[in-house]
Amino acid sequence: MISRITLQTQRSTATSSVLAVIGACLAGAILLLLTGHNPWTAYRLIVERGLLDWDGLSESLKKMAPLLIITAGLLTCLRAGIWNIGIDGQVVIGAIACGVVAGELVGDLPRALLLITGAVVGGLAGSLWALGPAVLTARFGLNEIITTIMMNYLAFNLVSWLVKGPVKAPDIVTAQTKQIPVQDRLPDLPYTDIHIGLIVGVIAIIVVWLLFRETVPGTMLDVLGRNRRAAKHAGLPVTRLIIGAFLVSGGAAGLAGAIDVLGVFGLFKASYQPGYGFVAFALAYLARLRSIAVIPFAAFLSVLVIGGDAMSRRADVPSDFVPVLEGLMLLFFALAVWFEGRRSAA
Amino acid sequence: MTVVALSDIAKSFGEVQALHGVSLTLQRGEVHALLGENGAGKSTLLGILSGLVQPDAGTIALDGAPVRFETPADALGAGIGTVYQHFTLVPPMTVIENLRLGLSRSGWMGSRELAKRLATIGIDLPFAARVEEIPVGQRQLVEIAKALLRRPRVLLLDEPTSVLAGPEIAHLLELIRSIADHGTTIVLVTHKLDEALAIADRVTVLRRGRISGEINLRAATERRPSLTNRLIAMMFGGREPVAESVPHYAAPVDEARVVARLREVSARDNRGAPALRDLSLELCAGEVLGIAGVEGNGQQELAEILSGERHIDHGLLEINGRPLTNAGARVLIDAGVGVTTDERIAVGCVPGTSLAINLVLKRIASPPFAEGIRLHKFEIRQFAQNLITRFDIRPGNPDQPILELSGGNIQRALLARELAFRPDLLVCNQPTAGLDLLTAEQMLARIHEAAGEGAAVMLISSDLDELLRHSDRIAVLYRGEIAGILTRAEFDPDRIARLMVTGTEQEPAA
Repeated sequence: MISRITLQTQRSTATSSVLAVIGACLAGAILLLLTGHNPWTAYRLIVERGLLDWDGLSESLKKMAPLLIITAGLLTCLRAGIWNIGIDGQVVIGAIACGVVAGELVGDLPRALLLITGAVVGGLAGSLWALGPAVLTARFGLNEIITTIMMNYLAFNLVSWLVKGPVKAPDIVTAQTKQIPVQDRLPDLPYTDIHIGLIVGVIAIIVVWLLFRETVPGTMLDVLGRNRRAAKHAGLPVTRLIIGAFLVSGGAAGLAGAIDVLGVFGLFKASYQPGYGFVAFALAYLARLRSIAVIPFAAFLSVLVIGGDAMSRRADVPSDFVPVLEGLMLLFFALAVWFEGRRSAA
Repeated sequence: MTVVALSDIAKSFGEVQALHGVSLTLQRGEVHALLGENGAGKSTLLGILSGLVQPDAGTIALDGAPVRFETPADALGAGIGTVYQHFTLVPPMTVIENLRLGLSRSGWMGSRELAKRLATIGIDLPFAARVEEIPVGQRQLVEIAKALLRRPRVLLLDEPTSVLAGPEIAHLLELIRSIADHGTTIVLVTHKLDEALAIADRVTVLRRGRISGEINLRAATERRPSLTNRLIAMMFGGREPVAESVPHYAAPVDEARVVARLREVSARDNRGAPALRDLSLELCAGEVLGIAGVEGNGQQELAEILSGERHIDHGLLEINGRPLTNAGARVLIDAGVGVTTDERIAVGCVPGTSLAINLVLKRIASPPFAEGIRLHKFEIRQFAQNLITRFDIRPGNPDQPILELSGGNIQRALLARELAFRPDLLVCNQPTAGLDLLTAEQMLARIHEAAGEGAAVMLISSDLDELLRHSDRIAVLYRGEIAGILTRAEFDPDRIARLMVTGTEQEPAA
C-alpha cells in the first residue's frame, strides 16, 4: 500500500510518473518474453489499434470520458486526504438510477431535457450513495476506506437485485432496464462517433483545476489534506469540507455511470461493472494529484485498455496483461516516489 | 559496579544545544532518577541511551568498553531496554501476544514459561485479555513486562507514572524497586520529585543541558524536606531577583474589563484522562497572565480550549461577556481570540503551502481575502507582504513554502497571523521555545505591544525566568488545577517552583 502521507507531500515533478510508465512497460516486456510472446509485436498492436486506427482511437477517446469525470471528482477527495474507495459502487448506483429514470421518461421529454435529467439523477444518486460514508467519516471519525469498500459490496448486490427484479424491463429476458433509443442518446462530436461525454470529462478536469487554484473551498480542502490539525486549529469547517468532498466525488462517479448509460449502452444491465475505481486511483497518483496532468495519463491508459483488448486477442496474450501493466505502473510509481524522497532527504 | 558510563555527551538540534557535555554513570542494581524541567535535556539523554538519538560528541561505555548505538535495536541488543512514555502496545491483541511481540526470535516462550518468568519478577497479568480491555495501569505493567522479558541489564523508564492514578503509582514504584533489587539498573526519568525521593538511590538533576547536581540518597543523612529544597534549588534555583529585571513594557491593566473568564472548567487529555479540573481564571484587558507549571499539568489543554480545538466537559467559557463554551474554533477566532500553538509545525503550519496562505489561513474565507467562493490572491499576497515587513519575517518571499523558513521565522509568522487582527485575547503557548535569545526577546516585545494595545495576554511558558520577567500575574498549574496565583509583588522563584513541583506552598511535612 502506498502511504497516504508520502504522496501528499511529494507533488513536485512529473519525472517519477513518466519513469514509472516506462519502467512498467519494460517490466511488462520481460513478462511477455518469459511467457513466450514477442513484446515488440504486442506493444505495436496496442498502439496500432488504440491510437493509430480511426475506430480504435475513437473507442479510446470514448473510454476517456468516464475516467476523466471520475478522476476529477476523486481528486477533490484525495487532495483533502480522504480515500474514497467507493467509486465503483457510486458508479453503478448512478448508472442504474439514470437507466431507470431516463428509461421511464423516454418519449415524455425532449432529448436534451431527457439527457440532462438522466445525468443529474445519476450524479445525485452517486452523491447520495457517498453520503453515508461521508457522514460516518466527518462526524464520527470512522475510517472511510472501510466504509466505502463496504458500500461497494452493498451497491453491487443492490443493483444486481434491482435489475433482475423491481426495475427490470418487463418485455425482455435479460436483466436490464428499458432501452433508450439511439436517437435519444448523447449526441456525438461533429464528424466523429465520439459522444460528448469527453467534453464533459475535460470540463470536469478544468473545473477541479479552477477549484483548487482559485476558490476558497478548494484551498481549504487542500489545507485539510496537507494538515488536518492545522485546518482544525485555523477554524476551517472540517466536517462540511469532508462531506462536500465526498459528495463531489460520489456525484462525479454517478455522473460517469449515467454517461455510460446515456452515451454508450442506452440502458443499465446486470453485467455493468466497469471497475473504474482502480484506474481512477492510478490516474490520480500518476498525475501527482494535479488535475490537468490527468488528461494525458487518461489518454495513455485509454489507449492501453482499448489497444490491449485487441492485442490480447490477436497476439494471443491473456487479457489480464493490461491490468497487470497498470499494477506495475503503480508499483514503479511508488518506487520512483520512494527514490525521490531518499534523494531529497540526502 | 558501573554498568554504563556516559562521558561528555553533547547533542544539538539545529541551533539548539540540548546537551552540553553531560557525564553520568549507572551502577548495577540502582534506581537512578533523572530530574529536570522541560527542555533540560532528559529526553535527549534518554534517547541517546536507547539508541534513538546519536550524540554529536562524547562516549558511551558498557562495562568499560566503548559502544555505539546506531539504532534502538543496538541498544536493545546490548541489554538496554526502554519503556517509552507513550504506549507501544497493539490494543486489539491480547496481553500475551503483545508480550511475545517484544521477544527476540531466539527467545520464544510458551505461556506457562512466560507466566513463571513474570511471577518471579512479581508481575501478574491477565494473559488472555485484549490490551484495549484492561485498565491503563495494567497496560503500563505490560509495557514493563515486555521490556523485562528480554532480561535487560538496564531499563529506561520515561515518566512511567504519568498515566497512572494514586494506588497504581505506589504499586508501580514498589515493582520498580524490586526489579532493581534483583540486579537490573533502572533509569527513572521523571519530573515528580516525590517519586524520585521515594525509590531512587541516586538523583541526578539536569538543567539546560547540563548536570546541575547529584544527590546520593542512600548516603544522605538529611530529612526529606531539606532534600526537597535542595532538589528544587538544583532544578530552578540561582535565578536573579525579580526586582532587578522589571519589564520595560508593562502596560496598564484595565481590571474593570474582563476579556476572558473560565469558570470551573474541566477537560480531558487525548487519552481521556482528566487534564483540567474545575479551573477558574479571569484575564483583564492589558494584562499578561503567565501560566507556569511542569509540562503535562494541563497547559496544553488550556490553550486548546481557548483555540476551540478541545471539548470542555463542564464549566463555562466567556469572551468579552459572551458565553462561548464549546463554540468551536471558528466562533472563537471571530470573537477575537488568537492562539499561537506550541506545536508550530504539526499544528501551526500547512506543509507544501506558501507563507502567504499560512498567514491568512484563519480568515481565508472572509473579505478582503475572498469574496463568495473566489480567492483574492492579490489581496492575500499584499497582506502577507505587509505582515512580512511589519514582523520582519525572513527571507520574506510570500510565495515561499512555509516549511522552508527557520523555526524563528515560523514563530514570527504564527504570531503575526494573530496580531494582525488585534485579538482581544492572545494566548501564546511556548512562544519562545527553541528560539535564539534575540528572536525570543522580539516575540515577547510583540506580545507586550499587544497587551499595551489592550489585549489580554495568556503567556504559557516552561521558562520560569521568562514568566517572572514578563507577567503581571503568574498562575501555577498543577495537575489541572490552579495551585496558586501570584501578583507581581509576590513573585518569588522558590515559591513558584515549589508550587510547580508540589502543588502547595507548605513545606513538606517532616
